[in-house]
Amino acid sequence: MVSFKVKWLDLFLGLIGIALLIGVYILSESFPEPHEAQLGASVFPRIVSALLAVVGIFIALQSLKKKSNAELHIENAKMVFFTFFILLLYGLLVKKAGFLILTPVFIAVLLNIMKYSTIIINLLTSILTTAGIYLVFKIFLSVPLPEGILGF
Amino acid sequence: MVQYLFNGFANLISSGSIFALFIGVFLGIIIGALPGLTATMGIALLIPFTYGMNPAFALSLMIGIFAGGIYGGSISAILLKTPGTPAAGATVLDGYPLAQKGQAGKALAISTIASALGGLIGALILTFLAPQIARIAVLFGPPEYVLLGAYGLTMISYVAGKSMAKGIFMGLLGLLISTIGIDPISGFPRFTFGQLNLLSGLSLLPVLIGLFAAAQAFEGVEKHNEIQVKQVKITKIGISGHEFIQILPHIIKSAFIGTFVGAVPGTGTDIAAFLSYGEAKRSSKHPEEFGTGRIEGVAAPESGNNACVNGAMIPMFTLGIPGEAATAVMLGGLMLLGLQPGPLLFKENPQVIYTVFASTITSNLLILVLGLIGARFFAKVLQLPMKLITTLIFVLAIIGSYAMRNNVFDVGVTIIAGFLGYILVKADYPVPPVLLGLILGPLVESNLGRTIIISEGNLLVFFTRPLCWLFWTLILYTIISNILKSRKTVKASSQEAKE
Repeated sequence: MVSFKVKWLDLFLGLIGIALLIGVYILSESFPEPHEAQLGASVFPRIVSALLAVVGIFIALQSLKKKSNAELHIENAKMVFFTFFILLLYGLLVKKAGFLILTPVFIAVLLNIMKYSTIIINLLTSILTTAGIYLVFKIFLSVPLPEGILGF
Repeated sequence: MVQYLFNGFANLISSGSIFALFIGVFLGIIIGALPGLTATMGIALLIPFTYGMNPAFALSLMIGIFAGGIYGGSISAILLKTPGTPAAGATVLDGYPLAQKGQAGKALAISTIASALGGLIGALILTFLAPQIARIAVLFGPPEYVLLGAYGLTMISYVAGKSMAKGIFMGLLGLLISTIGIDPISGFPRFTFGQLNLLSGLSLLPVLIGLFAAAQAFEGVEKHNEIQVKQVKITKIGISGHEFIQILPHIIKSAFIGTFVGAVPGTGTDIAAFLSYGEAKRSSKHPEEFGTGRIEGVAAPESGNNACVNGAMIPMFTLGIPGEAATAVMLGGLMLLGLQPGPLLFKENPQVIYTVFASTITSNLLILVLGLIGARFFAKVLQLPMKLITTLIFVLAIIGSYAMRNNVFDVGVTIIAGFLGYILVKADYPVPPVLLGLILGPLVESNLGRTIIISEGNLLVFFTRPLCWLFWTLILYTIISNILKSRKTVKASSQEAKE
């Protein structure tokens, strides 16, 4: 399990708010000047980012002032972070490799790490699930699924 | 109007939307029955696959999931003592004790009948009230739309959860994200960093799927080793005529409470259910028996929460402002279908809107039929392995975000939004305000731009139109009532701490 104090996250997001404000102001410098009686492209983002920074600082200060010890717990954190990692890999590679190749691998790995069943059952489940999804979405609903190297 | 409604029913059947509605209600009941999965998540996952469908067909599917999902939550509330959705929280109080007494079948029948009748009354109110509101809303000009958007943004205070400041922070974040892409007035690309993918802004759909579906799946991975509770055995499903007469007044009363609560933006099905339960208990001759398995204690919240589903659609369809998470997601779906939610929808697409009304009415009849005939089947669904469902949600989230534009960039957005959403919710940063900001940001900014052009820069225009004053009143009322409410909460919690 991973735990960390919520106030550090509040402080971090307060800083993000300030960083966004600075970033928006610098980037919007290059926006064209509006004609008379026209809302410039920079006005709305600047107002919103200024408010965001103010609220972010308010949350951070309030959290520090309260001396709150509230903690954020993530049980099975390693598994959650690993899932995020393999999901990213799956998402980024699925177009190139193809839905039919990568999906059974992703499902089998995820079922294995969650200890769903034996390796054989997990493999069989992943293949049958992929086939089911392919049938429903690609064949029946004509939803475009990533074809990848197989070409279908 | 009645003629339009008849045409709506005819279109529901001829366009095959009734089939979509059936599938929606069926899937909704399953999603709602499974603890941890919500109707909102179901709609979010479904939207990408509705792209390109006939709007009436797609909307019927979404309405079916919404209504079925809220009803489905009662099945696990009665059989497992675990509400499938927050809306069924109040149903646990008497539903589970009734099941423990060996009357699980009766409890399920009551929840089905109450959900269907309550939902039906709510749907009829929606059908006859919404066009009247839309008739007024059609008079809106750009200044009114700016204030309408601002009023919609004050809804953040209702969906903010534990911390108002954190809710506002997330809403502002949504607003800021909505400024990415081409500026609606000058046409200048903003914050795109030369990325073609960002020219039309950060797509709503991948963010929506990430925040409401992938985030929930991460939660599923975290809690994958939680043991599933053993369910109560189902007995004969049905109730006597005498019992029906006993619960009928509570069903009707709760339906009106639920519809009203739903129509007030920012409330929700859970609040409607608890208010209905509270009223049933207050007006009962035996309030002391509530919590021990009273049939009215099952009927009232179930009627209230399904009526609320229809009430919540009133501000969404007529004004284009979502009041809570599920309608916010549906609003996103409407926009992706190419429909502009709000009063013009009634003027430009009467056929679609009246087919939708026909769907809301029919969805309740389907709940009645499916609920009574399929109760034993839906109870079996509760034994489905959550690990496999979690994995399926991930895969559907990925293919859903990909299907829209065949774009890996959108897939990346979904995964990152999902992971951030999962972490932020744990630290009490609510995610529905992000969606409110994303949806309402362009509405406010583009209409503000138009107002400035039309009024030649005179901002007093916001104070000279009668409908603007209506919105100023609503905005001020929402802000003041929320400040008073949060002060009360702070006072109560500091008093509790002292004790």
